[in-house]
Amino acid sequence: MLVAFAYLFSFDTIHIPFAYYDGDHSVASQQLLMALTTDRRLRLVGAVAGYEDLRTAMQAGRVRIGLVIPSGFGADLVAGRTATVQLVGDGSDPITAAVQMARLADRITEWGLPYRRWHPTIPIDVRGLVWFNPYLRSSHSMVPALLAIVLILPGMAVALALTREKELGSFESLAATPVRPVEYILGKLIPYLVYGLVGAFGAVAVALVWFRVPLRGSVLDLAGMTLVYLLATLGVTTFVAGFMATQSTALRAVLLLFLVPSVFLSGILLPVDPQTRLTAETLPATHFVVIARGIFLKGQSWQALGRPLFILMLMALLSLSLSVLTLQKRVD
Amino acid sequence: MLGQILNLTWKELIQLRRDRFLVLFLIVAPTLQLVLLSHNTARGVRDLSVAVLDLNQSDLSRALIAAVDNTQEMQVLYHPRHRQELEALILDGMAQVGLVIPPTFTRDFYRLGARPAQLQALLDGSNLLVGSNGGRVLEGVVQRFIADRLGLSEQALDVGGVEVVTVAAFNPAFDYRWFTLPSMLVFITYQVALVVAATGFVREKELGTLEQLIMTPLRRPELIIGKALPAVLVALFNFLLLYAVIRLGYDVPMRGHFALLLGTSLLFILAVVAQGTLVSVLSHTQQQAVLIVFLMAILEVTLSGYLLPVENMPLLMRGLAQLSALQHHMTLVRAIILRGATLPMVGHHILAMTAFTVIGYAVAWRTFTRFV
Repeated sequence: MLVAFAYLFSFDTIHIPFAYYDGDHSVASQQLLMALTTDRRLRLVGAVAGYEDLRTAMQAGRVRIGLVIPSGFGADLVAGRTATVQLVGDGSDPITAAVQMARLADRITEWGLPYRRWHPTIPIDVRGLVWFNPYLRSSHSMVPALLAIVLILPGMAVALALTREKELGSFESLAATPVRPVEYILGKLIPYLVYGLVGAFGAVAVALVWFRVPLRGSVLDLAGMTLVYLLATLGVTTFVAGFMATQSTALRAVLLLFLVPSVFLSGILLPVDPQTRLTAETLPATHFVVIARGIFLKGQSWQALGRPLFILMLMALLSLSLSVLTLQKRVD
Repeated sequence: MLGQILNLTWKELIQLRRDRFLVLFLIVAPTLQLVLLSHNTARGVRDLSVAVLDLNQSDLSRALIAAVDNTQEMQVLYHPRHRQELEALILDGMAQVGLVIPPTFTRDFYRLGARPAQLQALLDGSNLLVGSNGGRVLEGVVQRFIADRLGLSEQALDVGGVEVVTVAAFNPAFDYRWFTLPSMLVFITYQVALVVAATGFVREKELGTLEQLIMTPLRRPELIIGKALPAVLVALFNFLLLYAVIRLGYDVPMRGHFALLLGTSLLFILAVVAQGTLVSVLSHTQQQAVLIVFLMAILEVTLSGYLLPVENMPLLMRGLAQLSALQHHMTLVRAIILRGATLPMVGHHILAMTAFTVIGYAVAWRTFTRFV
């Protein structure tokens, strides 16, 4: 299952539905279109007759990005003046539009470089350098972060196992045995911890072999910190499950309090926002996203990741001891 | 027949109401969640944190830093004193963009050296939005800065080549909330419908009360429909509530017809409830049902086009995505709300969801009949 899940995130083949309006019909505009569409990154839908046509095609979802080449484009370019083109992206998905348009704009600018004149009045030269992910592969950024989501599954399973015993009434008979709360919780957790580690191993293997995400840090660091993350998620879900009477409420609690915020808030897709930083910090996933990207892409060691590691340890310790305490009280 | 169904539905609703946490999770939590989550996604590429290593320490370099800080997209937060410190800030993720101003910046700028002044920009590529947009923003700032400093018009700096102007149709301000809020509306409706439906039968099975239900004069289809109706009602209520919050609280535009949105949403809920009922009928224990639902939810969210657009997925996954009601409805809702799509434009999504509903109930009914 983990394998299937991680398999989803191979974005290196890109088929953006693309349309163009060529108002210039010059050699230069034809060459630009050729240069953009010969590799398979853009899926050429066809030419449009104008803005209205482009809008309708985008409305129906047939086109994601449109390129508008105005008349005079070729003449400007050849004369050494700056020629302008317009990219129209589908704003109903602004994140994708922003990333895709930025990439396409870079390619168009690069295509136009040979037409530039050497100009002695430009006194600054900006050299951009993208670190950690020089080709901006989405999979390299997303796959390590998604480990945080996949590894919530063992926590979900534990919450269900605990509430199931309550619901079926077998919890009372367990409480009557001489098993102490600490032993009960640890005994419940350890199998799921092992299952989580095995799952994590599989997911990491898929990330490395299938997605070719570089692992620049140490495997031991990754293993140790995954263990801490699993402890933290298991601890928090165990604690929450302690208050739930039925499996269906436990499921809803984990979905709403845990999974959904982790998907939206933890910085997987958008950087963590200052406004919601506090909420995001209470989620173990936020810290693990930092850790996973740190170890995979930045090659950081556990010393460099001390802050998120410390917070996760604290979460694990706190939630587990609180779970034991609440259980103790219930048994008494 | 109708009376029988309504009786069962009423019984289910009473049962739902008894569970205090359940009511909380069904009604209060989704709205809270929407409000909480909407804050996060409002900004996008704004206020990227920048660390500037100023080795020049001149009026000119300080003016450049001020120019960078004055943009909406960037915010100069750190002033490291040496290179290691700058690199550490980026490594720790404190700064998303690093800018190095060389010691010879002023001299080179005023052409006392042989070459143009070189600025180095370090971008954190582990986050895609930063990596793909940071450089362009900086270049724009520098262009304006040069024109401003040298008292030149933009034309004087014209070096030829191609300039690209980017526009977002349907969302000129690039407001990310217009994308995330409708997506959340769909996702929250989805999880409510799925969970209520999936635990319906299997709970009775596990507690041994299903036999009693079967012994009542209710016929099979009545039983299935009666069990499904509460889930549909609860999910529909959630949808309407959240839709009101989105429209009134966040000014998301509504460019299509409300009737179309309501109709497709009802169809979506029916399809999801069919999916949930199927899981419920097939599972033996609640734990099983819930784990299946959880896995399904994770898979469908990834396939839904929220985290990455469907057309960017590999072929196999694009095929799978066509089998997900969540993906169809996410696409459809964005098309209706933001792009004002009409019925003929979204017909194939509606067809797919109708097919899921019919097949889901048919299989559930077959399985259920065999079980009994």
